[in-house]
Amino acid sequence: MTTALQQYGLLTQWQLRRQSVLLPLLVVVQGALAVGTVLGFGILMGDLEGQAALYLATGAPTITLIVIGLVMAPQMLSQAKTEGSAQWMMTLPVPRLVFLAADLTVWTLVALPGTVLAVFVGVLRRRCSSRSRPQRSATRWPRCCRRRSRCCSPSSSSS
Amino acid sequence: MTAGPALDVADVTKTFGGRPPLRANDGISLTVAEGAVVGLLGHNGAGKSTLVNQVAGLLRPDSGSLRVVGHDAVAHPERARREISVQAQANVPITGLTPRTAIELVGRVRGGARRDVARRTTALIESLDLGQWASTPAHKVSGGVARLTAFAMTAVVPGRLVILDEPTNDVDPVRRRLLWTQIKALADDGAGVLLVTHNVREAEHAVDDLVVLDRGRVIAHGTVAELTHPLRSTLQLDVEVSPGRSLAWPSCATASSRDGLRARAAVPAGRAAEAVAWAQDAVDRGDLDRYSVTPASLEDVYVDLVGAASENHASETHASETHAAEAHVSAANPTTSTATTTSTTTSEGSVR
Repeated sequence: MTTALQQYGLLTQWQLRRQSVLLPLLVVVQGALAVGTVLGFGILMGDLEGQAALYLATGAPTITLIVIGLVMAPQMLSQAKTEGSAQWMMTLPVPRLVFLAADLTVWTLVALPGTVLAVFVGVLRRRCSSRSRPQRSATRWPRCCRRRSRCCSPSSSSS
Repeated sequence: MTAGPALDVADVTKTFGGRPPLRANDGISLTVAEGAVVGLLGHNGAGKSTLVNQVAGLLRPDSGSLRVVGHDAVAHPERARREISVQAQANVPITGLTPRTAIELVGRVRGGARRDVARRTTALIESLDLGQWASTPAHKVSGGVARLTAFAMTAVVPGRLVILDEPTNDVDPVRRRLLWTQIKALADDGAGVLLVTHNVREAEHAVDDLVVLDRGRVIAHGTVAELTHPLRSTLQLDVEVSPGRSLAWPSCATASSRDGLRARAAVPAGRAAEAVAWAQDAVDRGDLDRYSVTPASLEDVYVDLVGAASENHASETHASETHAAEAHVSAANPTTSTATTTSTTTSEGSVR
């Protein structure tokens, strides 16, 4: 007798194999989206620092997950419904939660490379930008500027 | 609990919302015994797939009961699903898999042991002559092979009730015979088989019982012999007229259809010899290219049944419309309304 755990493994295998033609493309799209978000927004918005840069770096994996959860997975599901394969799968003697678990596993595996890549690129970019920028703590401002700290801030002095 | 027949459907009704609401199943009752093949015939939209979806627990009936091997399929669809295996009407896409992998995976999901499933898969592939494509990626196989693969996915670990929805679609004539043999083998092994099909001619030789649906109602049921009984005393004379020649039927034949050079007539069984003599003469004269005399088939009975039901439905609709129109008038004249109600009731009675 096949247990629910075995059925989970078999269904995950079924779904992964079924998506095997499309999976490489999905992973590449996810990766490109993640890298594009981190680098692209930097180009659009200029050099971001501190909190804003952190938001951008962590926002990229979030966008990756949103695209998978709200665009790709529903699209695949509606396609399966249109083809009739989703309905046929539901005639198998498998608990509904096992279907859900198998689908979640497959989509997590699809999202994983993009998410990891986004975090990696975010960290890399933050390091690069912090190296190329002069350290604030090392800057020695003249005495007059210390008194008029607003007008002599690094951002206003650069402009 | 005593297990009942493989499938017991009693007075099932299902209506889909919309304007106007569509009554897809209207009081359907049928039984599929274990070891029997029951054909479910009906034209498009007759309610066959709706019934199948209810048996599989994908839809809930509005009323009536569905029992699969004694399990209440409405209250406990998950128990019913353990007892059934379904071949869907549409091919299940198995892109990314080979036919062999797909069959084996489904067999194991259905609870088969790895070795048994592998053995059974090989046997099915050989029986259906699929060996050439067994390890070919699914996107490279033809529609017929995909259809046979879908059947094998259903039969690899069959439930006690096997539901096959149009299993022979797209399958070539040679493999169709192999497929029918496997369908009969499923029943011989003890499964009840519910066979949904349009292919009346083929079903005639494979089914034990038949249920004919029309607009959600059972309009006939019984064995092939019982259903063809009314036409047993009639033979069909089919002829192919030679190009440029005209056709004049003999007095013993009653013309029933004409399609280009092909024509058909009904002949009383007692005057078959007379009809054959006439047809042979016509062939000798060059008026006919060829002819055949056959007993009335199930297809003839089916066409008669569905045709009669359609005419009755049309008259019923007409009567209802008349009733609606006259009911409007009846506000001023109550006598008219009573007369029309009587006519509608008569019409419904004749359909059933």
